[in-house]
Amino acid sequence: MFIHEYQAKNLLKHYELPFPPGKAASNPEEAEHATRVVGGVFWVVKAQILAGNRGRYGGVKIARNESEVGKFATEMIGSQLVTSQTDQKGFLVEQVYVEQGISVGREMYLAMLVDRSVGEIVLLASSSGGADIEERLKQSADQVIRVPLRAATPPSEEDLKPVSELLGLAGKQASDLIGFCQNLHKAFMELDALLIEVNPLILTEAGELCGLDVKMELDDNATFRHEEYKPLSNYINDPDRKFRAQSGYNFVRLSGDIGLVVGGAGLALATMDIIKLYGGEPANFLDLPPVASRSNVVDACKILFEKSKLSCLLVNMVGGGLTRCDTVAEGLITLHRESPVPCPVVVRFEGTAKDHAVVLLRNAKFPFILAKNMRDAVERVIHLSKGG
Amino acid sequence: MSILVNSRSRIICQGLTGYRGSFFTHQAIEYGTRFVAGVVPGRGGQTHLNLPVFDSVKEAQQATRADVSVLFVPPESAKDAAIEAIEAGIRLIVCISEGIPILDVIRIKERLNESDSMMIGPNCPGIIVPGECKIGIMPASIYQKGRIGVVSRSGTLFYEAVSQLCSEGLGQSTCVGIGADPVQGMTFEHCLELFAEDPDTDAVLMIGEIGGAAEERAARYLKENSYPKPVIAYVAGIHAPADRRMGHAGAIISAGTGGTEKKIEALRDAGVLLPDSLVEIGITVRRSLR
Repeated sequence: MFIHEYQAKNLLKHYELPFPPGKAASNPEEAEHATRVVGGVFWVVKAQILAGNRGRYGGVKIARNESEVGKFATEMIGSQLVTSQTDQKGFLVEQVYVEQGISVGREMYLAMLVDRSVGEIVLLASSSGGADIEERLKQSADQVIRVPLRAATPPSEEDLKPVSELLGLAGKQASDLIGFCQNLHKAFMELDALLIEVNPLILTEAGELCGLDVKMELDDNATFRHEEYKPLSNYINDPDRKFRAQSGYNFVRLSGDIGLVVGGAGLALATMDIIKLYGGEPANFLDLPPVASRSNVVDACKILFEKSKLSCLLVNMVGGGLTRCDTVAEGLITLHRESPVPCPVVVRFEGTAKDHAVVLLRNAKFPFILAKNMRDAVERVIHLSKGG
Repeated sequence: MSILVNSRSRIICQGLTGYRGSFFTHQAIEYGTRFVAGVVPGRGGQTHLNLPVFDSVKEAQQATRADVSVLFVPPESAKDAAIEAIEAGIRLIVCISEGIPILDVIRIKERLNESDSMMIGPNCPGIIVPGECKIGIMPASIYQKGRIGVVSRSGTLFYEAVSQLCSEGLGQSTCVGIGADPVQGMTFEHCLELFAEDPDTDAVLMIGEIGGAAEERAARYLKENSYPKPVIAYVAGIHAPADRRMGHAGAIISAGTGGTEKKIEALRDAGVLLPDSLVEIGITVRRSLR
């Protein structure tokens, strides 16, 4: 789960990482009040959305006084902010973060993340930072250094020496950077982070190291050992992410008319691919949780019917693991008893308890079209989608 | 012959008395798999499914000379269970458990790298040698003995692909579900390497999916090693919408890998046969054998 900048800074404040003082506000009065709490001579008002490039799209403003802070907060809160990392509608701004303004000497880039391509934790750093970092790196205008880190032990001074060299830091600045990276590693491990990106990391005009913005992702799998995660998802302002975080269903928004309920993400992806290949358009799809229950099936179908207008529904199931085809059939029957399904349903069962599943559907007089195999299933839904 | 395990493998189950451990070990024993013990802390001395239960992997290993352990433990205790198996000298760990925090998997991997143990998974269907042994949660009925090696990231797609092979009359030598979590133990390359040396495997079917760089790395391995057997690959997710990203680190680190098209391009360049769609997997494998 991605979290907001203010939530990340809140979690990180226990780790002796230098960030400017700041405070979140939900309305202009709170924002104005925040200036007195955080102190300083000017302030940065930042829209809190789960997307980057806010600065370029009007989501970060510099205020010279309290009433300017209030004015920017009024403009931002309640608006939909569109950036290059949101969808076209943008994300609703529910809070702003009011931060003490810092005079920047030089901008750099620092991130710690799980590199999924090799399965290790890495530190990335570059001597230039800011929103155009990717462009600069693509044009090889700047170098990025990649340092693999261990989970079990913090990076040593020796490990981090090439980083301070690349960033052009020496003396106290170099040792501050080493301390920063070591504390960041501690935070990363203790908070079960997948990403902590400090961009930009700056040297202030006075030459002090300081982080300005933070992007942070936490591991949903680690929720069981983090009480502090629980309230965070209430503030997700990307509607699809919020739905996923709160329902546990893997929901993917698409624009077609063929609804898909599939057992397992891989099979769901493949089903979607083959529908497209045969000329159909999949609608929003849901993949069932690994151990799907009857009520999961009912919920999944209801969500699909609610969120999109379907020409037909394909239930594609290879029973295995702990999910049996007959459990899925029972779910469909329960759903139909509550309210009749609004569109034709094509069912394809393979694997554990497939024959029993078909018997259950027939006995319950559930209206369905039984497909012989995957190809047959896809051909049938495409025929239905084209009005057949 | 097969890779990694066979009918002589001596297997223990960590989490034997739990619902899943019990259910799938029972199934596996019925299939003919040689389970020798269970490990459940606090239940040492008991018997379950006619198997002796031990408090620790070490005791179980010493008493039974087990070389394989399958993990059906909750995500909260998976890291400790896997490390216990590594420390007890278990050769192959099959980690079925899902929902393990990623940093815990990385901690396990760091220990694996310092040992001679290997791990399949986590969050995987396991491994099956049709007719010999089944260690995992796959529906055994769909598998048939034969000469195709299968290795898959996805679970359900793994079953789908195998049922297509069978409908073409193609049995399997060994099928390994390596799992699709962001961080994994065994990789495509490990399995490909073992299949290359297996005299009873004629061709290898690889099932990949969008995200990560596992397919790209496999392609590089195949190319660099002039792989001696036909490899057929299917990569799911060509029409999947890109997940919205946040920040820049993901883009910097992946440098163009992860997308299905790039994976397909890399595999094709390595001489891998790629069916146009899932339903052509069986026929493509058959053609590769001519």
